[in-house]
Amino acid sequence: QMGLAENQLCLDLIKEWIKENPKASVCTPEGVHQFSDIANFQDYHGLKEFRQAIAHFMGKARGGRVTFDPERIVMSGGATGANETIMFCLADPGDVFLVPSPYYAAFDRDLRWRTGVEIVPVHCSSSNNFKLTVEAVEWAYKKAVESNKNVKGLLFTNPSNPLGTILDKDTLKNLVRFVTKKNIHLVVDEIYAATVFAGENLVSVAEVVKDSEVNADLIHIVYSLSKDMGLPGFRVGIVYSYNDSVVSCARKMSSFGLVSSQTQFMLASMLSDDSFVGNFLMESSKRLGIRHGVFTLGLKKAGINCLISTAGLFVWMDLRHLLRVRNSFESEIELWHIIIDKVKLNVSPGSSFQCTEPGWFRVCFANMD
Amino acid sequence: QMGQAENQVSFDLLESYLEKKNPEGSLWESKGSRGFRENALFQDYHGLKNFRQAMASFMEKNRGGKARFDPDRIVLTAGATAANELLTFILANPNDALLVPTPYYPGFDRDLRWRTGVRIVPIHCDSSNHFQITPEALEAAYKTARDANIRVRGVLITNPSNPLGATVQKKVLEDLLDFCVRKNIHLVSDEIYSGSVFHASEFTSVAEIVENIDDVSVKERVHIVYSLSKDLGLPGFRVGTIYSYNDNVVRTARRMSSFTLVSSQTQHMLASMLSDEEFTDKYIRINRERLRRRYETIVEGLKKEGIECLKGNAGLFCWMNLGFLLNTNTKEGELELWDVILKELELNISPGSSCHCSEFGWFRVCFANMD
Repeated sequence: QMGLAENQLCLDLIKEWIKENPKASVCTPEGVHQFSDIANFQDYHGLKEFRQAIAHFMGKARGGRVTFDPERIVMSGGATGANETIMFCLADPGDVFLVPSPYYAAFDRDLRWRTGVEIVPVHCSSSNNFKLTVEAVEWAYKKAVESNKNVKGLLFTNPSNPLGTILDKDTLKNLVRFVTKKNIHLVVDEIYAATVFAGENLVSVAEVVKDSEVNADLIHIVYSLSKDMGLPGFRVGIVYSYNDSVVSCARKMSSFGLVSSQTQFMLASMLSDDSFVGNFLMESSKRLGIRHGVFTLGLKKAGINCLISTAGLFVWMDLRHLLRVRNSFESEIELWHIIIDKVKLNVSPGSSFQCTEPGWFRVCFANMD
Repeated sequence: QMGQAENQVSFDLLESYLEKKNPEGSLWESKGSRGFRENALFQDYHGLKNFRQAMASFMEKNRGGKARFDPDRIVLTAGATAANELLTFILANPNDALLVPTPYYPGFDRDLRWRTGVRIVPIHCDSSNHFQITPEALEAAYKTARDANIRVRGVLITNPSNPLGATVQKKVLEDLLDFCVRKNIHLVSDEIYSGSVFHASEFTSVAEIVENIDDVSVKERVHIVYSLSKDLGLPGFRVGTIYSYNDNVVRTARRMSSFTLVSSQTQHMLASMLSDEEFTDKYIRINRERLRRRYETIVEGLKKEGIECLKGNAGLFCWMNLGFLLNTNTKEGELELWDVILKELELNISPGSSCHCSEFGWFRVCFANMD
């Protein structure tokens, strides 16, 4: 089961914390005295302690290099809800968002379905290890504008899904300057922020937003606990915007996807526990690194290379040499079926991520024992 | 604080259940880490099976067993707010309309219209017949929409009604369904207050009407919205559902629910609670009883002051008539009076105009939200 990008490596740590802190649950004898207040709480601002704890956690997940303002934290139904909400806030039906490919397959649904927004891909290629460049974005922007499209912004996931790579600081800064120049929005989905297990630290867009050449009103972050903490079931999505109007609008829209107050309450407690969080982030990173190492080594022994990556819950595997017909998506799908049926591994074909080169596959390594 | 339709009368029942049964603790005490792990990872938009079963069972109990609910037709959303919006996205296109009887829950203006681009065309109801929907009012609303070249996609009612605090009569429901069949449109029944009817026998759910219909083309137009926010007083937990007799709607709603799933932690805890039949039977009975008593107390009290309320039999509020106190029989007159009540009496009640009531001077007073 390597198709699902889940992080199952540190659930034991979370479970242990919960067992040791029964007061963090309003449904245990120890915590039930808080039940009625919490059960009744449906304010779309969210529990203050929850917002503070999330802001704090987000900062720690970025090595303390940035701080986040709890007043800018807005809830949503998972990152799925957050991405859709930010589209509703920033764009009208028919407007365009540029999204570097390969990209998370569900963006086609999340960003477009009910919003009517269009995705114009910024194609990245293996020739430079799929690195996102400002030139590529500029070119895609120019082409879109020439075809009379109304480009509202650029959206990308950093660390990248499916690549597992992180964007270098210079490119990030230049992209931020680019959007400022063109007066379009930038949404960075940092859902994999704490999955960096090697190499350089993640440079969050939050670190460059204070630059003088940046119009902060254009910068927005999507976050979630689904990947960093492995809690997709709890539906904790966050919209974080440096733009007051967007915060206000997203907050009102959050009525359509609030986080259960029961869950807010528990996480407020858990994520304010500094020693737990510190240990968790460190252990998680370590375990991911080990898994990644074992995995890529094993693949290498089988003559399979992966894109060099330092984050994420997956690797981007190069199977181009195994395609029956080179450069053919049909062959990619054939190969995919063989892997699923014969080898019984659930991996995801590059075409499902809008990759323009056949033969790449995403394999998840953090989702089973 | 009588402005908010919250149900705080039965929290003690919930708390004592939790203390005794500790449904959350059982998840973490489970052998190995499977229980907790599975739950934390569970993001399947079908929802936890045992939770859907528990919801179906609870919905059946609320209707005194007069209708059956299939757990596979239950789609979970984060609150009725999301359920109503989601259904609107599915059933209508931007600029289409839903017909909604007045007075209606003010939140509909946002929930049904904001991001969907769908319009609301009101079905005007008045006190001459206790604000019940008449066939004439239905036809008039439909014609208003058609005259403006607006395509009508459905009728959306709240039963029991917010803000009236009264159930919709069976005959009216049957007429409504006939109307929807004739016009080839949908019928959405928001039954969020179904467990808050003082006497169970007085509530007819649209589900009961559908039970006795074999014609699939009729059944397929009917969709029910439910939530635990009012009956169980758990608005914070964000538990809403869409129940549809239409397979396509169920399928699409399920996919769309990805944007608004219910926390698996909450699903698990409530699955436990709502499958405990001894608990739910007791809860439903006592909750109804307490709401009824509160209602009677407040109506009596108001009567002594010469204030009449609409005869109600459900919900967390009563519909009070202060028309005789208005300086002018206008919206301004009503808002003036409201201002006085807010400032001098410090009572937070809701003016009828915020509910699009076509008569002035009516106010909604909530009675279940404080001690």
